[in-house]
Amino acid sequence: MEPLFLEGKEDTPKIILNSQSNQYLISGRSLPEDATSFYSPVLKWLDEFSTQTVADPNVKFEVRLEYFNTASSKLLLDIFSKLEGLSENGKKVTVQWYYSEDDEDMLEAGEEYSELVDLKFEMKTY
Amino acid sequence: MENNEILTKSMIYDLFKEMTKENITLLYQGDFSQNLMKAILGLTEKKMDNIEVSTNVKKKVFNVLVECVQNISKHSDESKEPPASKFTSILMLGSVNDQFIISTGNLIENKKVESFKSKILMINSLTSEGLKNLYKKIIVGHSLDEKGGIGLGLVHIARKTGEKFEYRFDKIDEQYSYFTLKVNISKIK
Repeated sequence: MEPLFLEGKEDTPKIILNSQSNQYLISGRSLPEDATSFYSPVLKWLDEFSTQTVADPNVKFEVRLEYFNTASSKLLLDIFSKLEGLSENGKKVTVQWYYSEDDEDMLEAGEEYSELVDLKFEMKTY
Repeated sequence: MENNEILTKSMIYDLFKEMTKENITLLYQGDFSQNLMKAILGLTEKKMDNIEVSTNVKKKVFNVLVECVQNISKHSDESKEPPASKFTSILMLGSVNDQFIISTGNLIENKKVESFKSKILMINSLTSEGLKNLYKKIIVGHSLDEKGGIGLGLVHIARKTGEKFEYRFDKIDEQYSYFTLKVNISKIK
């Protein structure tokens, strides 16, 4: 399946979804005015991914966001819901939630997502 | 005759003194777009580099600025008829003692004032636990509307700052009011 690469910009994050190299990453800032359009290819990609069998069932989904707006926070939840679906299809998904050591709000945001979805979250500092 | 001495008598120095005295870091009036938001964030980032506050506080200021600008761009009303048409949106960032203050102003239709006011009062009445529950309820239960909003902006700001909103509605004419919102962000947290 074709990987998805989106270059990071000042208001949208860098995105890598690559099942060949087993790399899944969102990093940077997510402040798009129209979050639905921005994240629509990501959600589509995850839908297709859910139908694929992969050599290594371990999916480590890295989130390294500096900050995100409230519209993006809804779309992140949609992404995590899709990832939850992957677990049902035999893939073992872990969300690696990165936050800078002095950023309590980002840690808190990660902890809240982990309460909202049935996924394994690893909180990591960078 | 209009009394615009700052312009006609080259009194920008006085304006500068006034803004410095009031500790106003940033003042913008006009059209609120995504490009403007990027510009404001860039400017604020540079200015904040010189201010001795924690990264956590700086991020709170950015967070609140982003939500404020996107709230205005998505929800403010516009009028083509004077007097209301003269009232454009405004954003101000400043600091007083141990607090940053972000103030915004924009037009709102009179018919929306009551329900909006009750929303602010409801948010102001909640504890941090109550705000967290409301946030979760909205993020799980609501979808983005046609403007790309989800109604989380104010709840998010209240949670991040831990402060109550100050606000006022000034009636301009039969159809419109001017809505002012003031948000405090502690420099110490």
